[in-house]
Amino acid sequence: MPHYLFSLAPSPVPQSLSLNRDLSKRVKIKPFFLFTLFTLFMAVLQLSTLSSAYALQPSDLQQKEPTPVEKARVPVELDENEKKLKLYEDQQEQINQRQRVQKYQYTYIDRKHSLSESLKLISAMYGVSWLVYPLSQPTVFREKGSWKNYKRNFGKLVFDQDEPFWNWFVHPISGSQLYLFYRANGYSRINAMGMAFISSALFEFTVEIYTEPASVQDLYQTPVLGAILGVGIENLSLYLLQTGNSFGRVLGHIINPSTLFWFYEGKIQIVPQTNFKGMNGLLMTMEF
Amino acid sequence: MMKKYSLLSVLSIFVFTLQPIYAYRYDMHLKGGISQSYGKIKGLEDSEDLSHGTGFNTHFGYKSKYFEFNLSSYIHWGEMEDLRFRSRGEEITGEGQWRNVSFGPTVKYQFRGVQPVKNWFMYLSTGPMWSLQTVKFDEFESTGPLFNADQKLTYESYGGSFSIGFEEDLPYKEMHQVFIELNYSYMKTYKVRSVDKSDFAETNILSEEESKQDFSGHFFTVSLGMTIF
Repeated sequence: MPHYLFSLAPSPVPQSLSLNRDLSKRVKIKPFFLFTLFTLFMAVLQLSTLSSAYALQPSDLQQKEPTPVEKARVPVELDENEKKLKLYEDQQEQINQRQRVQKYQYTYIDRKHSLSESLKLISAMYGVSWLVYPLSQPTVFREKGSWKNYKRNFGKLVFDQDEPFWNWFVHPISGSQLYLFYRANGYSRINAMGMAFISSALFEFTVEIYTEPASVQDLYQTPVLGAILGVGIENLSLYLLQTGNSFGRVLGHIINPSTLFWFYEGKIQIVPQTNFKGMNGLLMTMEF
Repeated sequence: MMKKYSLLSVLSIFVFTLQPIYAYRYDMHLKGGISQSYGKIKGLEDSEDLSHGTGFNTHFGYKSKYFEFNLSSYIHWGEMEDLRFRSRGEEITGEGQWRNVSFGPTVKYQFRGVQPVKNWFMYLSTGPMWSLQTVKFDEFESTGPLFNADQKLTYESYGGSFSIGFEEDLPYKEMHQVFIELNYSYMKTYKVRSVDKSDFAETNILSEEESKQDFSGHFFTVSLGMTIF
């Protein structure tokens, strides 16, 4: 068979020959033909694999005698070290199988907090708000902010005239992250909202007044709508973090960044344990 | 004689309501839900409009044995038409979007013994309210040159509210008690502002005046919600 039949390159044969024109057409068809053949082959292979995997063979019903090699592999009695080694090997085999190994479980664990601990957290958030506010709104801070304004706005509470985007979108989002920060620190939902309320009020009355007076809407909506939004984000992020895949974990951490930091108390590691004497259990380790 | 029996009846009803309670109490809570508001707003020269808006309500507070103390908020978006307002000496008539956000502390008394439906008790609630109403005109006519399409009017109002409602009587707040409530509130404007909304990021107050006009409204709100946590 001529070489150019299998070549994908343009034929070097003169186009005047009618035979060669026909052959050049065949050359164009060839990749599709090969692709179809390959697809068919893969389909047959897949079908045969499936049938062999699911079809119960008559030989399966009969108990097979172990081969001498298999007999040699099964020790009659294992000592403690051999058991541990076998367990380790089994675990490694399991890890090497095509499955995701989820190292951590994510949850929220509510606990009580001392007054000093709560004060420390509020102080930390207060410090962060002094840093974040000028960084997030540099133009407003530079153009409208002054200590003269601070003095004039101190203790003043007004209805702000902002657009709904700010009051019903931006503030609830920041409130939700505040709520999630306290949730990550082990506060119950209602206490996390209370702490968010305090932090938000401190920000409104002592930080934001550098540029504008405290606002009634922000004071209420930041923690309250923030907490409602926060509950939704909390559930969604836990769902994503528990999926076990990298995409879900990354997305879960993006919408709930507090789960990434050292202060997050709901990161749990569950490890199977055994004393090799019939007592098995799960060891739960949490960081806080 | 009648007075004595009346007093006795009131006392009996009160004692009747003091049933042993099994619902959660002495605890903080956050409740929220959706609302539908119907209002009759009175503008200049007896111009009136029936406004309606949809939105949501939230209540953050503390529940004691029979009383509940809340910070409540209602937010509604709606429409209004053919209302006449005054701002910076101009009279403006038009139609457009109406937005209302109101806040206030409320005290609620729970009639635990009054259960028209099993495990649902009745309650009454009242308190002062402050609100900010915003009107954005889609079409308008103004008697002067100052007001234009890039501006919105905001009205600060105060008033009071009264609610009657029914709430599920369940032992734990984690069971997310549902409530249904009918609220009436009366609001009267005390401050009017004309605000430039051309810059989305930064609002600029163009004028601010104490309201001398009789701008007021009666609002009926039906709310349906639940204990969130």
